[in-house]
Amino acid sequence: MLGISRAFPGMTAAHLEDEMRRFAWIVALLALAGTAAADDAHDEMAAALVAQADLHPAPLQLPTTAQAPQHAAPQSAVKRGIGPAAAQAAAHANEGRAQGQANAAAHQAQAAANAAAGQAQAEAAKERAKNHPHPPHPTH
Amino acid sequence: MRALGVAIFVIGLCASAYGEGGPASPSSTPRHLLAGVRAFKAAHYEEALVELRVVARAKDAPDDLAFYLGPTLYKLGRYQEALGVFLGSHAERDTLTDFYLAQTYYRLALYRSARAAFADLRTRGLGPALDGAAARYVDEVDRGYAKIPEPVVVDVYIAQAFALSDGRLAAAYLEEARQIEELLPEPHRRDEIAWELARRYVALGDARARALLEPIAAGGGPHATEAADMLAKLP
Repeated sequence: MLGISRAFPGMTAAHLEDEMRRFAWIVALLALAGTAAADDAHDEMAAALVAQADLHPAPLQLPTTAQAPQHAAPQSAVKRGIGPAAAQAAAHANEGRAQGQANAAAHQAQAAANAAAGQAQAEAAKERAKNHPHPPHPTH
Repeated sequence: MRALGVAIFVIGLCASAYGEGGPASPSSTPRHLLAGVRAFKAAHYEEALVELRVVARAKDAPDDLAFYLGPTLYKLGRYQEALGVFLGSHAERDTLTDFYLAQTYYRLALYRSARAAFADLRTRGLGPALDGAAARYVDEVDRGYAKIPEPVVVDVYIAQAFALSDGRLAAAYLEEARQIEELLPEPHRRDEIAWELARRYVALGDARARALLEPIAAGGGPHATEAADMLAKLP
């Protein structure tokens, strides 16, 4: 208090108390403003989330029917990058279509997994090549 | 003059309070958050994502960031990222975030998980519009599973889980496989699912690992010893 009195000569203790009270109000208002801003964002987002929710579900498609080719010939399936096993399954779709599609989807998923594994192997090979740029020649 | 002195004094004190990270932080995080929300409201989801990414990087990012970021990613059709945000959040759960989590499950064809989430939301209480929507989602899943699914459906989910490098997402797909397998008259990959799921839950520090590991350890199967070791290390 003494420091403040020195900093603001001519101020009485009553004045200082008055100013400190005002200061406390300002700090409280600033704190409230910060909280209010956060609340505003939360409330606005909540309203937007309700307004933009998808109230009507899209028709459910189990992965078997969603992923399997519907009426695909083996050639076109291969063109699309689907494995031959999946294409075969699609070709036999007329007899037990559900099972065929399910198999196709499984093969498709397996093919994707294999592709990912292959890519990982290729990357590992590249890494090895980088670390050992001059591999020893095979012995004859 | 006196007023000027007091003003300087107050500004100085406020500045020091800001520096200590007081409630009225001068950080731009609230501004970016609000900008993100306003962009979301206007359906400018890309713009919202940019703002929310800034918020996510800030030290004073809100704990419930998933409430903002998850739905934004959902709206952009980035469902796996959205699921990662929802599942990775440690904020207290709220119904709106969980509604969008349930929608995300549905979009990813994780229908059993979606059904469980929507059914749970209905017990927790939703407004009339969202409750009606949740009921429609539950009905749609029930319609889809009215017939016992082919075992290969389980295989598809397991294959998808194996293709995912994110442990949390992989666990979600394995959990879906587990729930579908429960519907089958003759489960064919139950032990494998339990083991793979348990491993991922252990890695994630998820408490559900214990319930999966205990029967594996007691079963005397190929993973019994490893499961017992894992159990011993659980907190």
